[in-house]
Amino acid sequence: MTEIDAKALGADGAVRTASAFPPTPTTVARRPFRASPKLPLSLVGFAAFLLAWHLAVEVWRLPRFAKLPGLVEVFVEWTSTDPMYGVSLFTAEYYQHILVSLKRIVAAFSAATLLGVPLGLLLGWSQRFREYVFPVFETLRPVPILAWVPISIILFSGAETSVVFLTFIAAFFVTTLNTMTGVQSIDPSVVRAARCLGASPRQIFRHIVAPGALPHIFTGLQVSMGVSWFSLVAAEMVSGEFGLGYLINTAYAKIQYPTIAIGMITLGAVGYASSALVRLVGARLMAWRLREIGVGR
Amino acid sequence: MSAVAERRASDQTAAPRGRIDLHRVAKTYGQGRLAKTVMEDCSLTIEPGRLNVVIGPSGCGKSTLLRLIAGFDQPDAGAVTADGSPVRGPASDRLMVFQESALFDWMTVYENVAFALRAAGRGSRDIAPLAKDVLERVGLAAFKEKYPGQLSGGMQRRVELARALINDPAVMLLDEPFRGLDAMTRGLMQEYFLRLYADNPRTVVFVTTEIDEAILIADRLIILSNVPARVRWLVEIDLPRPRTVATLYEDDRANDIKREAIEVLHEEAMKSFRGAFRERASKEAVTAGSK
Ligand SMILES: Nc1ncnc2c1ncn2[C@@H]1O[C@H](COP(=O)(O)OP(=O)(O)O)[C@@H](O)[C@H]1O
Ligand SMILES: [Mg+2]
Repeated sequence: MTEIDAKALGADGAVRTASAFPPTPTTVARRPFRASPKLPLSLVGFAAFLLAWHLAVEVWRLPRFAKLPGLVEVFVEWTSTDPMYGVSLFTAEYYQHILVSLKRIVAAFSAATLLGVPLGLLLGWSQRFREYVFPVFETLRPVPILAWVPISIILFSGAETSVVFLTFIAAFFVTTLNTMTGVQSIDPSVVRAARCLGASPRQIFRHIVAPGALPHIFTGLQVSMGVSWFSLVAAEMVSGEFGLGYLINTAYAKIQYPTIAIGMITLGAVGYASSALVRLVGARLMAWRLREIGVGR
Repeated sequence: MSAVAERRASDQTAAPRGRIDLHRVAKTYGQGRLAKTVMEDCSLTIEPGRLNVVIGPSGCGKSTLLRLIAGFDQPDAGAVTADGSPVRGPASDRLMVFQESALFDWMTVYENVAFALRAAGRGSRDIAPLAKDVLERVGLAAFKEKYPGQLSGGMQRRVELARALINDPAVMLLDEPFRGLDAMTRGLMQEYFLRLYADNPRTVVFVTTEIDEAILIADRLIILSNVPARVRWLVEIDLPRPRTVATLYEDDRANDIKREAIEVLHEEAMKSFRGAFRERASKEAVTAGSK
């Protein structure tokens, strides 16, 4: 029996997972490669990018690039103990900007997740509720984040709350919509099977709908994290004291071009790390998906 | 463990539950020009405590029949009753195993089975021994920590059987449970199913499109007509058990039943073709007349 089953595993497993993942019949043997990110290749990518930057700005001095901060200039400023424009790895101010932005992201992203996931689950679960709420939701969703700026300033006294609010708004719509789609993507026969077994609506919601929607929820959270940074920086540029968006904007106003680049690089790094964190949590919660394709044990 | 033993003992002494009656049932899907009558004036009885196998041409309404019995759909006319009382909705004593896999991918094999117990309101102290017992019965005790996606098709079907059996439903409705398995695995699953059934007898409605599978398994074979579904032919399969593909191959009675069943099935399957021809012919006649 087991021999036959083992034989069927290849063909059948591949068919079952083909829609979500490419078939990976030999992953067990190749695991060391898959498990570690492709570091050498990504380093080549980074090197090529930095080289292009260096050549375009400082070596060839291409017409439109000449005024941009150069790689060497930025690197020297960034690692200087006594930076020309006051912000480097060795100044407290630098970390204060990062910390302030991070705090806002954590507040906005958490609020968006805590409100968006339950709302999305409800929207997907109850047709009645969806009929009431979804049209309003869909009307508000396309409003660009910058259009919310006046309202948020009127609504909240003080720049801090309104910056967090703007960041929250963008993330909230993404998370809610993806969660709702996640619920709707659950195979109806799975829900029927649970009903057949005698599960109460509560049990179905908790044990079938919520975990079944998890893959979509985490796709949503990753996008939502990206959108959070995007709108945070926009909001910080409009109103705010401190934060990486504020740093970039003031550096521009004061013609401190290397500091702009430092702010951008830092944003990239922190954004990358925060998305990676969301992915990591997702992978932890969805061990069943990884095991399904044979990665990890 | 004693709970399990008790439950099994009561299985064998109690009178068989799970008689299902369909009385002049009609079912139409869609409306207006898209309306499709899948069942019309269909009456049949599912005998309690037996293996009732339903076979019919593809698209004739077999899954619809099971959905009506399970209570996921309601008939437009007529009545479906279980042990005399009308079927109003799904209930855990009529358990359906779906044509497509319906395991919970995010739960391990053990959790899938345990969920069935929790859904039935079992106390948490009963869950572990009952789940262990049922997984042993289907030979999957060693795989209890695996996720469905890690199992072969045959093993997945066995998990579904385990999950279906664990609450000891009076009626089990199986919709082409072995479809999509390769021939070898399918043969093994059939033998396996028969052994499992011998130890856990109950009312079963088993839908299939394979005549060999039907004769191997059935106590009673119900052949449905082409759509709209009605009982076309009903035969008691009084062949001795245990049956295997090999013994049936040499059994004259089995071959007679098979030949006759194939004739009936062929005739019914052809109706959908002939129906299509007739429709086309009549349309052509209409267009010719209008010219
Ligand atoms: N929910 C539905 N809506 C519309 N048509 C349906 C629906 N379910 C089944 N049908 C139609 O009813 C017929 C019988 O379906 P089904 O019971 O699934 O057949 P079988 O299981 O015998 O292959 C098919 O022609 C199918 O297209
Ligand atoms: Mg069917």
